[in-house]
Amino acid sequence: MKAVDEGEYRQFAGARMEQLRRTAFLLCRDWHQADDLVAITLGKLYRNWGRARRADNVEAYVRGILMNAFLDETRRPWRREEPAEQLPEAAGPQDIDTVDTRADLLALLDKLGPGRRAVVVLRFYCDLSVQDTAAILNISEGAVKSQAARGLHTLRLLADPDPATDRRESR
Amino acid sequence: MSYIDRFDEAIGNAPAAGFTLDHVIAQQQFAARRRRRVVAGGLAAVAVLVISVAAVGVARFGTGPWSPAIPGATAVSGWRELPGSPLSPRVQALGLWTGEEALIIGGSDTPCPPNADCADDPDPLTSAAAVNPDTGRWRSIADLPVALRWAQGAVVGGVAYVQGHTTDGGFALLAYVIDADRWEQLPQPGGEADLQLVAAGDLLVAVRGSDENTPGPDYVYDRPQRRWRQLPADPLGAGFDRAMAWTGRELVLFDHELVPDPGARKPAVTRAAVFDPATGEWRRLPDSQQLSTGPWLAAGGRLVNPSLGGADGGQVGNWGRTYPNGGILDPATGTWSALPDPPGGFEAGGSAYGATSAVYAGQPGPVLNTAAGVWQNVAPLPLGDANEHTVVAAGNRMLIFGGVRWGGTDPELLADVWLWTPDT
Repeated sequence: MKAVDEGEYRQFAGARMEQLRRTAFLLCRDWHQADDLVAITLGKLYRNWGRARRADNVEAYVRGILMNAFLDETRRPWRREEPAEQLPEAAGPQDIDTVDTRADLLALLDKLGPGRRAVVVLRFYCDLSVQDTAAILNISEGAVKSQAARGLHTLRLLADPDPATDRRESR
Repeated sequence: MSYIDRFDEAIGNAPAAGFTLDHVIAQQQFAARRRRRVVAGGLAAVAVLVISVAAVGVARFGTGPWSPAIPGATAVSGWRELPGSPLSPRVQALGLWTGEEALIIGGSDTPCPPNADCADDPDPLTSAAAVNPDTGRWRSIADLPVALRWAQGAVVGGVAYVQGHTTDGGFALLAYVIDADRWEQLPQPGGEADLQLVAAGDLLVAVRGSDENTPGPDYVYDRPQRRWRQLPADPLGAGFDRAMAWTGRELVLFDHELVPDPGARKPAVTRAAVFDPATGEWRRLPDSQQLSTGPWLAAGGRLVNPSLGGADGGQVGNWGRTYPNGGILDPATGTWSALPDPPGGFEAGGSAYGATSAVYAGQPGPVLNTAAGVWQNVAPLPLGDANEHTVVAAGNRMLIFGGVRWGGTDPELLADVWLWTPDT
């Protein structure tokens, strides 16, 4: 990589590293693994910087690398997760103002399968459109809508002081 | 509070990163230098590798590494676990046998309870893997490019053809080129969905299940031209429960005649006709005295349908005797015969195996050894009371994968893989 390109890469990657770490943490809920995922992502971005910088949407390009890294990791048998569609009864609706919100939301995310979790994080944390989410995950827009709706249903188990907020934001 | 804020609150304060950008760049630069050395010094080794691959016969370009081989994997009769699957627990995965490996493709992690009508269709998964039951080795393969529900398929000439319903309400037909670990999208035969794919030697055939709603032709795929051609019209006419089987040289079509109220006055017996791809001509066979149109196992020049049980038409409109579900056809002579001494007490199911192939119902119970003409018993599945598991006839063995066990309304998704080997 030329020095000028490396300078661009450093500027771009450095500015986004923390946000990528937070996104990765939502996906895997482990800071060590999140760092692994982001390091893999930035490594791949470095190798492909020439192509990435010419992409229409470099942000989406990087998020795509991160999501693929995450989904690849979940397929490895030693890191295989066991997603469960149904939440245990004890997990029921929580009061967001009175309980440990952080633990509850992460616990709810933990109940989603890796693919659905990726959809939820892209749609509701990265605030991407259905179209962009579908493009990043290489799935149909219908699949994104379905996965997002099911993921949102789970997340709605968090009691919301203003349910209208959810509807407005869920697009 | 917006979702973004809630997620940010849940994430909390991030600890210091365990790496720096300098580390990432240094690692990439080191790897690039190493790759250049390997390329420069490895050209001679490529020739050796090519020769080695040619000697093995089939190259493997899977995306994932092989899992370790299991000592004694080619072992004894009965059930044996094949651990190390890279796939997550799931139901309804498609299982296909390549002649060397079992491909486990897609599936869903949203099971529906037995006997329930679930409001939502299953969410399909796209990951896939292959296992060699002789070595017990697994490898990940390329993900499906399109998530499919209720997938069905066949393997022909090193290509796995897979079709299913897409999540946007459409239908897709895909081809997985095994040695290249690559998926392709194909046109649907006649633009139609839901025809059954059947492997017929080096031909891929798409068979219409019924002429009731959408009568029309069957098709054969011309892979070099990437297009479907219509098979000549069969001599059976309109039918339902249509199915095809490959004898090793010819294609046999089975069906029930499409008449008003089939089975009301007389049994809807299985009809058959044979298509010779070499001549492009059909010949009609005599009708059978059996009820089931499949599945069929080609063994010893005959086609064996191991379906157990039978029917007599009931009290009203009784047919005078019980007609068996299964039976045996000699396609060369058009002679039908009964299964050898089928075990009683079974109203459905039934499996059969030959020297190199099998058809399995995926249940414990009788399985016919077609070479000896005797039945043996498949012991209860190690998965216990699971359903929606994948069943693959891996040569003449039975491989089962995944499924779900229900404890009340709570599903327990499975990723276990077991192989049943018949008595030798």
